[in-house]
Amino acid sequence: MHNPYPKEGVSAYSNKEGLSQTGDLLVNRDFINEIAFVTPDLITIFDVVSNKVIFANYENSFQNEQSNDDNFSVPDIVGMNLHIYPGDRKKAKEYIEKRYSLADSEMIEIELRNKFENEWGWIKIRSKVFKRNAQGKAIQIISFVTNITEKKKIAEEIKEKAYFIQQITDKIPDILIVYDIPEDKIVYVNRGLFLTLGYYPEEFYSSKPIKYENFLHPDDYQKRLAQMHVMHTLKPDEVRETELRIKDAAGKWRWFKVRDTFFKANEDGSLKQILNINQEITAEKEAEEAYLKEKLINDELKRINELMDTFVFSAAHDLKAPISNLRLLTNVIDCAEETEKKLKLQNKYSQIIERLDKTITGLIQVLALEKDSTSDLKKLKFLDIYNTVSKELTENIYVVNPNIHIDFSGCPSIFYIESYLVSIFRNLFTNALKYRSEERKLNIRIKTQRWGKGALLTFSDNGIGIDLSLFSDDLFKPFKRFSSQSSGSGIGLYLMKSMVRKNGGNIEIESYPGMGTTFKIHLLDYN
Amino acid sequence: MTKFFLLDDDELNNELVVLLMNSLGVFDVEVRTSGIDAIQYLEDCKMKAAFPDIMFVDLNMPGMKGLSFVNLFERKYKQYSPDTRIIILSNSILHSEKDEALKYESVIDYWNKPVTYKKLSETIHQIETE
Repeated sequence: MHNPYPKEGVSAYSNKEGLSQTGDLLVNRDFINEIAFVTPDLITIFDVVSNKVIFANYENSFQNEQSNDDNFSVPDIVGMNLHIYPGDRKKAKEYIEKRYSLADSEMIEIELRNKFENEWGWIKIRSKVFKRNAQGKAIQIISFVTNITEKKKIAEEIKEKAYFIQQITDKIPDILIVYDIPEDKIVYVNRGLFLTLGYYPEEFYSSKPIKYENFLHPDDYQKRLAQMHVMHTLKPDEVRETELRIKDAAGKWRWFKVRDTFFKANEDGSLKQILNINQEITAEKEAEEAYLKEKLINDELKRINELMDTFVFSAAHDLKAPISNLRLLTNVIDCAEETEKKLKLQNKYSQIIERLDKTITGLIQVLALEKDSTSDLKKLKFLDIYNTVSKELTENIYVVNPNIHIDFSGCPSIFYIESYLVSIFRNLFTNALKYRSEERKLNIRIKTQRWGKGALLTFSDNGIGIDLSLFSDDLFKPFKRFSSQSSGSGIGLYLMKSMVRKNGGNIEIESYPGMGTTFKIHLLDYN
Repeated sequence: MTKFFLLDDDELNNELVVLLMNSLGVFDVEVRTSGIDAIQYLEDCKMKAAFPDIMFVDLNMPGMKGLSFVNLFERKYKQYSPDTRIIILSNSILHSEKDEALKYESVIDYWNKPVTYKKLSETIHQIETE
């Protein structure tokens, strides 16, 4: 066996006898020889009448052999010592027959498996009518034979790779989308779309421009639109992540972690297509939500427990104190000998009863706070609340006559429980008035600023201040007083903190003895 | 002559206890309403080398708690006045507080408020007969 293909340096060979029989061909002989010499293809001209190869650019092609079962016989092909795969022989025969009936401009081709030396490979044969007789019947056929083994191998490899990728993209549950930016069109989606969301690709391909509002959650829609708007700035090695809700075919919202990556560039290097990888995270999200919900309940239970601990014991203590005093007073009155002294002592009953009343009022306030009061929700202007409270405290303010500086321009209003906000302002105001320094004129500064989903209320005074190193533990506990002189029930700060924290807000306090106190209150909007 | 000291933030209580003591013939009573003032008082006692015989200490006060005061007394002042005894006064309903208070060597008793004529006279009598 030998390779039927011309190797480099092998010169073209022409059958002069055959060519001389076809006078017209002589004109083209030099031209054909020229082509035959430079082409790697095998070229033959087969004469139908003489049933012979009359031209070939390869010497050994002219050895006509008898056909047998092992050696497939087609005159011009057999002559080239080709060894066509038995399974392809029928196809080859049909091909040869077909050549005789071709139109002038028509060229046909076939790919066949062929044995080279000991290895199977592929050849491609292209044929065309070369000459016709006066009746128009094809009498000479020209054929070009090309070794396409390598090409086939590469094609097979590509097919193999494509199959591999196809298998992977078809089987992963992630949704892969290739989106063309200039075209504003989805050009590829994998089966994940169907597996995960239940959509057929056509449902996604068809719309142009893409109707995101049909698939995206209303809360995520604007965000995604904004992201798409700046997508052209995506760098080749960049990954942009976001989390979105996408509606599945059954109408259920599913959470996805969406990664946008650079897929294909335009000729100028700018982004043409993005590959968008969507990984479902609904289960994780639900677990997270359930956890947060559970945590919220746990936190609430913990808070109630703590409240019971501090509240019940403190309340018991504070209720017991005036009662002890009542008994003590009675005892002292009994011991007193003079009537005048007895009468004087009896005046103290009212003092004790007043304290008892304050404590009980405080208790009622704390209990009332524990009840749900969200029905009182509305949009409130800080200025209105300030005016309400300063009117309520007119007398005290008149006596103290403080400088008050207010600035609600940073955040004029908030959606909040009115009674809470009034109570917070009242407590802050009362504290500032009560714990003022006798040495200087009282300055009060009240300011609001935007803070996340709410407002930061800053309330500062230049009063006596609190030594936080001594009191910070007890500061926001109920029924704690921090000054023996103070007349309050000791629940103001506790109530304030409870109200603010009810929807996740917080209170911070900064204070220096002799300098003043600043409350920073983070109020979370209820809306 | 027996010297008394009273530490309690409840001013009305203090006033009444002092009246009760007066009716029992006790007039040497120093009163303070916060732990910090009480420590200042102990410093003065140290200077004068004259400590009270009995200290009544309330447990629940703003700022320094009664037991912190007791602890401080034992660490820093007891060496100058080993015979000073402490009686705890409390409105607390917690047993744990009582147990904790009685661990201190100087604490000889734990009284639930109010202070009564009977208890006070017994104590004064006991001390004076010692």
